[in-house]
Amino acid sequence: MHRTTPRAVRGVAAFAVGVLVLSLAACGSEEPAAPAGGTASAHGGGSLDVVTRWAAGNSAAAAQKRVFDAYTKETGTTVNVTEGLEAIDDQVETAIAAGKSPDLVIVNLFDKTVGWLDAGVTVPVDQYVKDWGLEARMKPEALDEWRVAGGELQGLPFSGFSWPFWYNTELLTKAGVASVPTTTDQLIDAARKLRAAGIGPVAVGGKDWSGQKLFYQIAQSFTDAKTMQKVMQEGGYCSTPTVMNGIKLFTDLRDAKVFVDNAAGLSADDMYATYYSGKAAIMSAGSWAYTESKASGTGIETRTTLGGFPVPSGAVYAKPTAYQGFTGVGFLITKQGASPEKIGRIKALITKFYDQATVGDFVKDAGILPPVTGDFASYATDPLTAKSLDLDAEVDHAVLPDVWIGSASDTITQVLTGAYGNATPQEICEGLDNATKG
Amino acid sequence: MRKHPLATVLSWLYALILAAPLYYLAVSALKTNIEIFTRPFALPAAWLWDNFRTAWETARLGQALLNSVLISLVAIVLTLALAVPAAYALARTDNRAARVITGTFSAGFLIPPFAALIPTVVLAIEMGLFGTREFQMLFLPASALPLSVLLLTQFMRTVPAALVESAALDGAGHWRLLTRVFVPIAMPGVVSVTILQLLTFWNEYLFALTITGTAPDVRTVQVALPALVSDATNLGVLAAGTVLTVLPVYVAYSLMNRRMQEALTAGAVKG
Repeated sequence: MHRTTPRAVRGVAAFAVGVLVLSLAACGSEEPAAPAGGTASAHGGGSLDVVTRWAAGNSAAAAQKRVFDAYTKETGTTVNVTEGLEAIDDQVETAIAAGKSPDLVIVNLFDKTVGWLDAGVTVPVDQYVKDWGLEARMKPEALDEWRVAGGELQGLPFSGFSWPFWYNTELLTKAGVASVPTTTDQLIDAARKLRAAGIGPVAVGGKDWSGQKLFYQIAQSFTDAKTMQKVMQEGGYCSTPTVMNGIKLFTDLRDAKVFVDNAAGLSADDMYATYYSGKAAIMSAGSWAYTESKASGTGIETRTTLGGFPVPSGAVYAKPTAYQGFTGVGFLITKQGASPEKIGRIKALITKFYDQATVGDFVKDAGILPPVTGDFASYATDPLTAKSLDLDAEVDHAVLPDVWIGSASDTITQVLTGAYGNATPQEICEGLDNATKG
Repeated sequence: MRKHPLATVLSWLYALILAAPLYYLAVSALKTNIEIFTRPFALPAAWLWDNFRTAWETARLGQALLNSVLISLVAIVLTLALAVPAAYALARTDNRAARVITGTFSAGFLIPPFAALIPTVVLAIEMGLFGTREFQMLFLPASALPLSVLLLTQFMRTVPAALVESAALDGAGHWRLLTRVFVPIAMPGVVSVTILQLLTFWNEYLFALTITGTAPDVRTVQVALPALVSDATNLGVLAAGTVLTVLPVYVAYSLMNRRMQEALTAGAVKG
């Protein structure tokens, strides 16, 4: 055997490869690598570490970036943004465990985030809201939704949402349905006519959150808000007669083929596509979809009217129901963010979000329901956003389950996938009770 | 030998079945959401090439691809640098200690990734490498070693004893035996391990998300891609982003697969 390459050449090559690897390792960024929680440089000053639910693909991401850019320009403080993915709660908790806590988390109240104040991850913001001059401007109902049981404010609500029923009036007319149904009997009749015309009735993603929310909207038809909240939080679906009546109403509607075929196997994305493409005439979707519906290029926004879920006779609601909430996305300040050296910067950033023009920017881009009082009609350039600002007069607001079902949400969704299949009311209520009690 | 027509038909059918998901992904990358759901296998009505630009810019895939390439390359170099000598030692030794060590490596298969997640996070924190690419570069080879060592050991055990003795009589030491006899003969194994582990490193998500994190300057391409997901995801853009992340793997696999075929047919000892 003999060497094909001299030892010296191979030594130089090995050295070059080593240098290349080290260079590549350094070339990715000019600053220290930022973990989920942010960068080490944030502790030195001149920066804030923010983890945000508004990742790049979100319709609010552009408006958010404009706020960060303007803030940096005005204050000279850099904002180190980390995108939170589906498991944003785990991301933040792991970063804090690693001693790399972010200063601010822009996130919705769900699952683990609901318990962050009690766990000491974040700080109460009651005093900040007063001191920063936001209390008078913010809607009381928005603040109430962000209070924990003890009354402390766990964060500052920002992205409110309306969650109405969408009706394709053109398809309803084509099927011979004269007006938007306002009672469940009318809905069943409309579903029959739509099916006869070859059009799907209510599109819903039976296997994910969209199906879960629609189920609860129907199931609480005969139950007052306080009782429903208690059942969602503690269980007792089977033992609460009014809730059982609501579950039976759901299965009656299901068996009357009010939902599109194979709803149990569909996702929210299927729901949007089915509705936007005119294959179904009705869906329940939140205000975040207003801009996306326009972007679909089908003109669906011009053929859609917004309303509520039809009420059955004997319901506790006088008008059709829709969801409305302010648990969409808000600001949670971590202990590190509340430190004396950081809180001034946090104040400057958060109050910037609540400027009239900034809120308007989010209304325009992402169709949010404003968390502050004021006239935002001029920002609602999208027809559905404009319509939703006037929705309050036409609907009653049902209890959104998110905060009340808490960490049982995923298990409950699995139970409800069966409900969109062929589960009986008894099987559904038992499944929900088991899921709630863990 | 003449092929049976049925074999040809079945081969083409099998190829079609394998190609169908790739075709679906490719055409979806050029469509709107509605088209993806309403005409899933049809060609796009309008070819939305802009989906690729949107995915590239929105998820900052350029930096993410660089991070993935960097992590995968360093990890594979470290894996081979550790596994090849270990396999050589185990292949040449047949005693109780070697069997215990081989058994220890095999035990690595028994630890599911989820079980290792929390200790690994703690390790990263203690090492001061949480939220860095460097930890992933060190961790991935550690996780790949059991399979790599066992595979390479089996390949190296095929080296004829007479060849080893002959080389030893010529004065070859361990280093020369390894580099001039064992590695060339076990080259198909080395290439197989490289392909297998590169794919594993490239696709790794759980540890990359939890430990390396989602900050744009360090995240891998698998972690960057979900940034395109929202409450109302543009699935065409997401598919375009997926195509962009799959392409480097496809190119690397094509090149290395050819190299493996060459190695298989090149004979035992060269040079």
